[in-house]
Amino acid sequence: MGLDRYLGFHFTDNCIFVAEAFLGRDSHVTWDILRQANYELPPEWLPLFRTGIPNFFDTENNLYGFAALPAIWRGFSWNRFMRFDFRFFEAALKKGLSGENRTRLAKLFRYCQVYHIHPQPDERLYAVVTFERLSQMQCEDLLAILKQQVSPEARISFVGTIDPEEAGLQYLWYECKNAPEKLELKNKRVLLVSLGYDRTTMTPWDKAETVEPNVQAPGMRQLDEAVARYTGRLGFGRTIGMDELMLYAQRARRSFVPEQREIAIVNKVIPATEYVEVIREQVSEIAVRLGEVARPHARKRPLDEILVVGEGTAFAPVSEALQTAHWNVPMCVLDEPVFAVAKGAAAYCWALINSKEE
Amino acid sequence: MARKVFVGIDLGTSSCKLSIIDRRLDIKSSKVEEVEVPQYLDNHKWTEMGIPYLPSVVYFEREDLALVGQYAAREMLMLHPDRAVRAIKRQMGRTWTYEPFEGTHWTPQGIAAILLHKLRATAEDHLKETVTAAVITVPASFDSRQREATLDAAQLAGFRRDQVALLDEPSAAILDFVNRQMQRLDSYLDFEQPRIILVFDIGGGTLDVSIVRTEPAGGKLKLQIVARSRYTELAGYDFDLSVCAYLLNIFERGCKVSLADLETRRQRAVLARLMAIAEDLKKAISSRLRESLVYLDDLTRLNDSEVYVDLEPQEISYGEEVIGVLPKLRLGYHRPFERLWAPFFDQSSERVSAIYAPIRSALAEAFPDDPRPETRVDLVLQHGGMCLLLPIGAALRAYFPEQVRVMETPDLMQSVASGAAIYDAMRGSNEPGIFADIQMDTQPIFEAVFLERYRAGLQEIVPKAAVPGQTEEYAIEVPDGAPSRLLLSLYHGFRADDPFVTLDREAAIRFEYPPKKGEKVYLCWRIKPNRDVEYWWRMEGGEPRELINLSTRGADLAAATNLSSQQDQLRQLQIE
Repeated sequence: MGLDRYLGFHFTDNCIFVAEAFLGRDSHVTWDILRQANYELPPEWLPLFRTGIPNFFDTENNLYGFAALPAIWRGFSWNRFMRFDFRFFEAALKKGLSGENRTRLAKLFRYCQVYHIHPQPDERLYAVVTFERLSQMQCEDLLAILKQQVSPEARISFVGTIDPEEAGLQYLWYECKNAPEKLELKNKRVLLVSLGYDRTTMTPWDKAETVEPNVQAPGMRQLDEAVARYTGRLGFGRTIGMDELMLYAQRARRSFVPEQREIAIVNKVIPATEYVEVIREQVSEIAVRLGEVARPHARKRPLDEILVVGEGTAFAPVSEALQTAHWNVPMCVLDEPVFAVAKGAAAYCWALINSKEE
Repeated sequence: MARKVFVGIDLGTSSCKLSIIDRRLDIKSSKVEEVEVPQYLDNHKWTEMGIPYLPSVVYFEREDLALVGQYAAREMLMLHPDRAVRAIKRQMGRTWTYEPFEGTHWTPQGIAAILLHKLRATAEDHLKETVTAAVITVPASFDSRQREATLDAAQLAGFRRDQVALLDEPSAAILDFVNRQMQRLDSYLDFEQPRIILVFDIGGGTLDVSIVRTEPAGGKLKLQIVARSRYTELAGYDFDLSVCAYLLNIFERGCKVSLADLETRRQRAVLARLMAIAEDLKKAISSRLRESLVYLDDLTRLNDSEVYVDLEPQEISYGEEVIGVLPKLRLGYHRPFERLWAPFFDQSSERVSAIYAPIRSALAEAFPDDPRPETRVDLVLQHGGMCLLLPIGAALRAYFPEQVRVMETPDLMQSVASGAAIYDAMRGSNEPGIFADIQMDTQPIFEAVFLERYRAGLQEIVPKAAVPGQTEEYAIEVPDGAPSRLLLSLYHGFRADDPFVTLDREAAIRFEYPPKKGEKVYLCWRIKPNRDVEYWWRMEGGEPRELINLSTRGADLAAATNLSSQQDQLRQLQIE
């Protein structure tokens, strides 16, 4: 009996997250996160890639993900790596996907199947894809390209795209249905804070419905950019570009622990206090925004709870800043926050297919 | 008070893993968490965050300091092979001692205890509370002596013996698989019908095959282990050895060095280094094969030009002294790996070194009257790090009929530890609802016990389906001649006509008064919780009496396993 599998792909600049949604025995949508147990990864890269698939393609050896990674620390060279990031997709929208890039993208999805999804031969794979930093219209055009040009070779039926913030809300919606005793939304006014990679969004929900436009704040990318710019000024020679510095900045952020004394960026080591100082502006911007939204007299009816998702929750300076700015409104960090978007996309995929069948 | 923390340990030959279920905040939590183990990595670099596994290598840096994990495995095993010990699981239950320093003797239990101590300390640091209970996995084919030795190791490591349970590795793997499948409304198998699942578990040091019957029973899914393979040591280590032998040949020819002419310490250093290279090459070719699936549909289209690994020149040295250099090599899958590993995939013969031997042995046990037992299987579940090597899966697909689904466990590395944590929660929690839809039958002893008296052939006295707690008596008629004692030889084996039946112990019943001919003497037995068999005897209507042990396969072991001396050594040892 082959299964229908509902997948959510979340593309960020350096990582791709994959989750699968399925209907549990209790008839609620639930998830599996699809990770690759990569035991041979050097420990300094584990914090960044223990959950996500490295968004890299080694053009010299035609290798993806984890297989492409060793070349980063063995012999980095210009243009050797490509990423399936917003620039790749923007170029595909403007100029169309070249034959080579189409194959590369299709094989990326195959790579995810071989290492993460492990489909059986008689299974049907459906997917919803989430792209960071692309508009809704761009995403729709991209979906058409994926359906027509990539789907047959990738052996996945692409059924939709979804905005990262919307995916976060989808995840929250299904998670509340799963655990109503833990997350009760129907009679509450909650603020969903998505500490995403590209931006932070704060969306008020009243009785499970969006009642106000969301408020935006810097995402984790802006924090990484600040670190990359700062360390770039320290000088690394010509071989290290901004993209690579961003990768190391992201690694530093994901491996940061409060008692850490030093942070390594490529071969430079900076004191942790200096690092925290570099990102202070962006972090306080997030906290200020939250303070404004959560302030009791900011709305007629005060918030009952703040729900936090997104990869920023695992970053101590941000989570500590949130703790100081939530005006004593109870705050709940949802499980596996890094996968919230991919889970939301997978749940949306399940909903799209099953609503069609109904 | 019911426990709220449950610990599962996969005590592997090449690496150990740790999983926990923490219900202190959420009493209904069924989330299995993989715990990463802080340890020294290459270049003696400490990682506090840890890595997801602990290589099962112990390096004795000093008499009072042992370093466990990757640093020991990747560096010290090569630099100081005399003081680093690996694959200790293969020695469990044997009379073997290890002497890293003169006068310091470590038994397999003691070394396994060092690994378990490290894992227990990791769990305690993670949970911030004392851990004395756990489920530790062992190969299904471990005999009672090997199991007893594992319990000894757990006790030495600080676990409470009465709170530790041993679980067969394939059972743990299937528990994790079934638990995940049971969460889904649609799953690969319709569990409403009785099903047969064959678990093929090949790790670094052992290959286990278990056959599990699943059937719905009173609203639960009942898992019953119906057969398992014999103890076999064919595993990843043997794949490495064959590559190591190939490399040694190249090394000896290229460097005009003969291993036989080298002093023992240098021999060890050369072999340890070549084994490490062989293991790396196996992993590399395994990755290449998997990567090729991104581009190809099936492995039959592979050829050497597509899948190969390059090996840079490798200096083989003993301390500072360079013994020789292994030249630069380009090794393809078909040549040499496929040729070197061909005996392991030889389906044509009854070769015991082939991966099919344990499958055949388990199938024959489960379906003795069926000429094609492989058709009875509904699903083949692969587990263990060696399954990363795709030809293993391809060989299984070729062996079983097309309609049999062959698939990997959800996590080839971690499923056993996860299953162990689930089992610990199943046995240790009073909370209904969590994992309550799965019922795991008590596992039988699997090997029957036979009695031989006066070369009169083997009589089965303990059936292989006997389960812990079971107790029975076997009546023996007193022969003519008013004997003062009866000699008994007890054998272990699958069947009386099995060529692998082995003598377990020789014992005697000594009478106070010579009995009359035809009088009944009862040999009584009971299966202990660790599946060991306890014996005593009684006269008809009489009191139970002890058997006199004349010789036991484990007698020397008992002498060598002085637990208190190991305990003293462990107390003085710092483990990092």
